[in-house]
Amino acid sequence: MTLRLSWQSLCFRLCLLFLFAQHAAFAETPGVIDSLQKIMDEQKNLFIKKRDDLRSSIGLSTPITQEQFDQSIIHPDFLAGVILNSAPRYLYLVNDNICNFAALVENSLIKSATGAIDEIPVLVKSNKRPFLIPKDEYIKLSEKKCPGLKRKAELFSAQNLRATLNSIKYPEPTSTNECHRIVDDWKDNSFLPYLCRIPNQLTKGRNAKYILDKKKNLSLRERRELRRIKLLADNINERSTFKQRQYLNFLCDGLLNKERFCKPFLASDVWTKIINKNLPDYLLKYKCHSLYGRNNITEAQLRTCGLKIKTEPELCYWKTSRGFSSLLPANNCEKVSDALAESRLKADYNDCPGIIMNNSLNNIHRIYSHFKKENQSGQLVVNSSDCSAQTYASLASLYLSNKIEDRWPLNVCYFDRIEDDRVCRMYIPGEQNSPYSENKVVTEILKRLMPLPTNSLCKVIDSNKFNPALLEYKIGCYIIRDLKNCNQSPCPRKIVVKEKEVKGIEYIGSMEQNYIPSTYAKKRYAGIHILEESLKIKNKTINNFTELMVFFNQKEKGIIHGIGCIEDLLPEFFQSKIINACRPMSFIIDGIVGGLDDKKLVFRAAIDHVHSPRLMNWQNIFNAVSRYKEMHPLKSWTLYGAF
Amino acid sequence: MALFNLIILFLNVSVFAQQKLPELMTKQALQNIRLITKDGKFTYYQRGSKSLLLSSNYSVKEILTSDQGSHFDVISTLSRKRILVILDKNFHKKHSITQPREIYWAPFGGEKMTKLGMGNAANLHLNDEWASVYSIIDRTIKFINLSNSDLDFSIKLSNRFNPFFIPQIEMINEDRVLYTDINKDGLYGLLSYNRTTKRNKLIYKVDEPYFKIDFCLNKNDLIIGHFSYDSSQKYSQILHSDISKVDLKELYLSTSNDIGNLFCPQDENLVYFVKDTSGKRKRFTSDIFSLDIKSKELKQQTKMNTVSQIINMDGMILVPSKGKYYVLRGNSKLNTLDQLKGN
Repeated sequence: MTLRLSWQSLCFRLCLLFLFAQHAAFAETPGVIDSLQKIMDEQKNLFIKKRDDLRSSIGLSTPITQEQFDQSIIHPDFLAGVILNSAPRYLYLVNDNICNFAALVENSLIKSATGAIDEIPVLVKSNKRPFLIPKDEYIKLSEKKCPGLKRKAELFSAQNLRATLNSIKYPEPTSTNECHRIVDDWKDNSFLPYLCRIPNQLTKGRNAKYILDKKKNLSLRERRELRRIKLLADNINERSTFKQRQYLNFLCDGLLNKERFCKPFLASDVWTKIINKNLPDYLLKYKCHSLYGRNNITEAQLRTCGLKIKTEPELCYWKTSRGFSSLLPANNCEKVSDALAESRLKADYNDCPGIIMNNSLNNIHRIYSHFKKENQSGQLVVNSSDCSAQTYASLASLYLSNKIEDRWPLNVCYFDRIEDDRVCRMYIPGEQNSPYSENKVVTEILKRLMPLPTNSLCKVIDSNKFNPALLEYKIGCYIIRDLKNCNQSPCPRKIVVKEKEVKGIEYIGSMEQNYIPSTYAKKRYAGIHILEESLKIKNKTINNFTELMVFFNQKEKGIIHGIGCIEDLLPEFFQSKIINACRPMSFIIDGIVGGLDDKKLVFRAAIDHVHSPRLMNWQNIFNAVSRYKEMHPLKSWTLYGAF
Repeated sequence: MALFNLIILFLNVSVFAQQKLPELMTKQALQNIRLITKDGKFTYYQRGSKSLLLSSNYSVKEILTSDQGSHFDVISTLSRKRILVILDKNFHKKHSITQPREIYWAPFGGEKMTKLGMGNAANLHLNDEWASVYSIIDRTIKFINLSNSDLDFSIKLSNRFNPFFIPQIEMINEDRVLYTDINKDGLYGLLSYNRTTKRNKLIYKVDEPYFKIDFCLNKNDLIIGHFSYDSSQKYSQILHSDISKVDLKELYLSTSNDIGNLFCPQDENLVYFVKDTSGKRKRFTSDIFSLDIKSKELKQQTKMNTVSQIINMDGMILVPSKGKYYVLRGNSKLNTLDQLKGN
């Protein structure tokens, strides 16, 4: 069987159709051109009549032989219906590869005048004898001219779909020319009709679900059919990844219009890249948590959120960082996108600088989190969603791994009646998988002071979340952090057991940590050295902008950190009116943005939201570090490249 | 002749470009200085990181001591009756905007330090009779009468938006206070608080969260600056009104991305601010400009490209840049006036 559809042929046939339609229309109402819908309806009715005539004349039971099939062509009226009713992007695939027709039929990507194709009418060339071939039979007969059809169908069957999709490469373009080449290559790929069935089926599944949810008066048959369609889509969802589905969606949508495929990949903004899984989703998800006011969001919600952030840049001023106690306003989403595009800081967490009174701890935590390995020894895992607990856990990990836990300043003290003495025990604020975890330490202390059930474990909770009116808070043990009166690191606590406040347990100590050594004697305990020992990193002094650029070029994962006066770092936020006023603030620089004469640094002060970096001028950094150096006891130049 | 004129013009331009402000010279190491009066009679300076000293009349007295690693700030006004001292005991160990610091006051040139309380920012007002102390954690401004504590009162801010916000505060008289605040939508406002009625009145408000308000008082003039944090939303405006009847009129409007940081000297009809001088260049530069309140004349005062703050030291206007201080107005050679023996 031969089928050749050149563009000229297509146009000719379309013209024929229109002429036919117009003739019919003129016959009815001469001089009036009808709508395409009406033309299609008339064409459909004509085809149905001809098909029924064909059925009655030949009967469905008459089989066609392979030899006859090889000599046949598709019935022109049927073909006209296919052309008129199918998406041009799929018809175009048939142009150079007749086997694509069979594949498109098999995957239900083309339609006839009556809708889904269940049977294909053909004419034997030699004697014009008509046959009506069921779809499955048609595919089977096409195997001779198109070997591999059966094999491909097997590969894309439900059992093999996952493995097949995983074995296929999905090249992503980095330039427009490359993108066009990729699309052209896909068009020559015989798997394409099978791959495009996936987004097609998923769309049908979504529509079916919508109808099932919304329409109440469906018949049993309709309901059964919609459920079947939805099930097919669910099966595909289970056997494919989001990235694969999205890629195929873009590809099949862009077969004729290549820009539709290229645009998402060539978009320069970070939000599109995150949605396309070209960048890690933690760069976006914490912003979405803030925007939606909850921690659990689905992939679809993440996508919607990303599109929203992209189209509403003002959201990043504060709506995507609220609740995390950082310096506001942040930059708008376009600037944040520019900064994140060049940022290399690994930060799959959220922290809250305003709650950690000593902001240099926050900076140490960020550096630790960037360099720590997957199974870093001594790493503590935080059990709660408390943003400050993560910071303390990082610090505690550093102390424990450096075996300087004796210098850990935070202790819980009580009078032990058995030992007849005041006992103090080290604790790490929050809840972690450590014997020093605050909730565990306090629970053990309480068990020595009062009867508590054996399996009791206190919970750490913020004062704004603790509601004694609710039943769950009337029983059990709670360590309540007083966020309103938080003037130290960590915030003051109150312990409540079965609604009664427990006295006699005292929290002592606050986190004061030299970021860099202020004396030579205590060099070992400064934050920068603890980081070096624990993470096996080095710190190289960065003296000028050239050294900064060279550092970023040479050290792929290196980041720069330092301390400077905040009045010079962020003068628009912090005005200084008196001589030598300085509030030291640590910061991280992890990238450079811009051209030859307008380079800006990707900057996060310790009080900035970790996912909202700013674009900073070098002169601000230089001024800030210069002034702090003059005030430092050792006159240290506090700008380092860590690698 | 035309060529000659052109050469002269180029020379003038290049000379002008090279004209630099005089660097502040002191006998003490500059980073130790906390206040030198313009007549050189009093010098407050920090020794090491433990003590604040006062030098006057060739004698030196230790007026406040603290733990190792402390930092002292000294605040004064042109009234020269009192000073405030802000003590940060953990300057190197605890980098914190929100950590409260100890605040003291003393007679100007005197030694007796009296503790005022704890706070994050402090100022003197109304002929140094009042002090304002702001606490970030409490979001409260305390107004303390330094002669009669019975007159003390406080104002609580609305701000829950920016945890590091420090308001600007001015007392017009004992009954009326101006201060900045931020509402729940992140919008800056300038409010007037009436102590008798205990009511606030909104004087001015911005309409986007990326704008800020700076303001200052110059005798009877209220100057309000409206500037943008967002460099892609370039908008800068300075407004002016008589303080007795607030009727704001525009003094200056620009599509540049000015930093602001207004300063009103009390003895001139000028307001100084930090202006964006980038123009069409991509690289951001800024310098100090003065704006005449009466004539609206705008005048560039510095040409350093890297200025972001304006420092007032007993009426002298200093320009910090790259770790040094330059004198915009006042005597730069304080090493000749400073009555401390050279170190």
